Amino acid sequence: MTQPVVVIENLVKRYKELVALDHLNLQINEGEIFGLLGPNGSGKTTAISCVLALLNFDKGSVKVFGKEIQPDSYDIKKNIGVVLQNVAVFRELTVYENIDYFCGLYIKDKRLRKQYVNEAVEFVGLGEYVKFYPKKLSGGLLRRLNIACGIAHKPKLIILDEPTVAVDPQSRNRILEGIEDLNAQGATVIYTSHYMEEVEQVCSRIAIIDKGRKIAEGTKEELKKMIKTDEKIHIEVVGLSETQLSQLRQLPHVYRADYAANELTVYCNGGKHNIVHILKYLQENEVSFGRVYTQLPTLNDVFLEITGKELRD
Amino acid sequence: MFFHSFYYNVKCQLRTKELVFWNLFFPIILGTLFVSTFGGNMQKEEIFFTIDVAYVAEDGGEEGFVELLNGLQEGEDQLLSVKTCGMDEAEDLLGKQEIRGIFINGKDGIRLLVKEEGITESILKTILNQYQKTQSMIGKVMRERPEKLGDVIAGLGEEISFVTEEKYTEASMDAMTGYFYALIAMNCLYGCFAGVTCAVSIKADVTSLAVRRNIASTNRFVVMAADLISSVLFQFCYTMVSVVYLKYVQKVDFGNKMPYLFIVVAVGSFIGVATGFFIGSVGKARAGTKIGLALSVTMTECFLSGLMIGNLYHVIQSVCPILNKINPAALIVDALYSLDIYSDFRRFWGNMEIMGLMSFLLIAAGYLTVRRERYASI
Repeated sequence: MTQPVVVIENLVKRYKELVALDHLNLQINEGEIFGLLGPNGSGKTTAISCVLALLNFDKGSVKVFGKEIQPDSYDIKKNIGVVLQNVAVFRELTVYENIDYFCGLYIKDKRLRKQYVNEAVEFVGLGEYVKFYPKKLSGGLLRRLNIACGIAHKPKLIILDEPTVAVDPQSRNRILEGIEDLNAQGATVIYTSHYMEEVEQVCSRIAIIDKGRKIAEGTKEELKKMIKTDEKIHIEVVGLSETQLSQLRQLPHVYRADYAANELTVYCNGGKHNIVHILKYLQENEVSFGRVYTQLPTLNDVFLEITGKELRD
Repeated sequence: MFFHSFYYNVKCQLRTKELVFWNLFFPIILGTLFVSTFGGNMQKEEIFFTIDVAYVAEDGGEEGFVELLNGLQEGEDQLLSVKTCGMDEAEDLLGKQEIRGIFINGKDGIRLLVKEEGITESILKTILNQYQKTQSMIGKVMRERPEKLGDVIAGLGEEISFVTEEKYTEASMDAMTGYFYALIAMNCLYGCFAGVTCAVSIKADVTSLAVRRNIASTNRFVVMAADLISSVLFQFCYTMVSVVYLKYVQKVDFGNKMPYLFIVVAVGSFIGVATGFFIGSVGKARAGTKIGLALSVTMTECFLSGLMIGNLYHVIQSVCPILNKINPAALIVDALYSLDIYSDFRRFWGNMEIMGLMSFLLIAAGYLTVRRERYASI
């Protein structure tokens, strides 16, 4: 049975009148890639800051590796690696020196540190850039350096707070692959993001938070089962009348249909051959249509259905 | 962990162009401008200005001293302007700063009464000291080698008229050095930039770097101590480079007080870094804002110590002396002046003690601010 690495119980954090974390409960188990998904300002970073004993909180408890974490819990902290949302490196130090400096805050042994630093450089693919100063690196390479600084000491728990913000697709893919590699090497990963595609891609379990509250938790399959939508059908349609739209909503398994900018979106729950029924109706009513495609529900749909708003609002 | 942080902080300091410019090159450029602006003329002008003094003759005084004073009032390079009067009038003139000293010639010998301490007062002391030495020498020769008395008297006038060559403390009498003392003070206090950086690098509510350092498994105090010590060391080195440049390249005369300059620069660098650390520790303003504030504080201190207006230090000393006692720049300048004026080092060490205590208090106050374990917001 896997052990819980992080346990957050009933956590409340207020900034004056604003409730940033509202009785948040989370449990992250050993070996997981745990996704913390939520829009900007939902409380993801605040929750992470509490886990790291950076922020004080009003109520609740945070346990890491079975112990209540305190600012001077150095025995716990040595097993935690953090990749911050903002790039936090010394602009006066080279890529290698930056990684060595931060690794040196955890690892005393010089030889071991050298080995770890070289492995981190290799891991993030910055071998060609070890003598570069940060200002000479592109945004994507800077993010990779930021990651290397956070994971070089081989922590058992890695917390990545929006590591792919403002990163090009190539670097983003590399980062996501890296996270899976780190997990394969035995690290438990907490991954916060507002990019649902990334979370869907890498996370084994996901918690969706909004306004400081956990609104759903589970695997991506479990989350998708929580909502009505099984299938979304998009059809390019010209000149659909309100009457026709109403009639479409009456078709079997259709529980919602929207029409805007010449695109018809039909939401179905369950049933088979829904697309056939819809296209048949359009043909019989002489409605001309073009491109047709179907889409399985996404985490955005989950968020939309639970909160009534888009994840990226 | 300490040496690891120390090593990398030294590297960062060496590579921070702004620090290198403001702490190393700027003082050198400013010192070079001072030398080229003032040149060698100022030295002559400052030495041969006329000093107003009062002479009070009491019963049983020595007559020879009056002749000396008369001699110093004559010629093109008149050194003294002497007003002979009673004690009450002389004290009144001294109180109004119309004269710089009172020579009192009584049966117990000749005494000098001054109100302030500075180069002018030092010259008056030198005159009196020279006279007393000569008197003593003549008396000794008369008692022990009367046949040599003629030779001694023959050389007497020459020696007495050359007052500025025989210095009370073997220190420089050049008034221009006052500007360089203020420059050294400024250079030391520019340690505030590194001090601010030390503080904000550990405040997780100000910089992301501090967040990363706070979540590491190294004690925050160790990292902070490494940063502070390396910053003081760096500031000391930067300032000493400026001092050595001024002394050996620009030939600024700092007298024979180089070992004491080392001490002043070390303690001055300490208080400079401590001031910056305190400013950086308080509040959540951005690092740039804090550096701006630290610069404003430092430049105000330097202005009050006479960096821009040479005698401002003396004006403050007469109007509000306590200000000079809490102004690190003024304390540095005063410590260096004290080496010119006094033969003992009581005042010098007193200033060093005040600066040391202030540095300790600033760092302690800063540490109490940054040591808090968790933040309310980040």
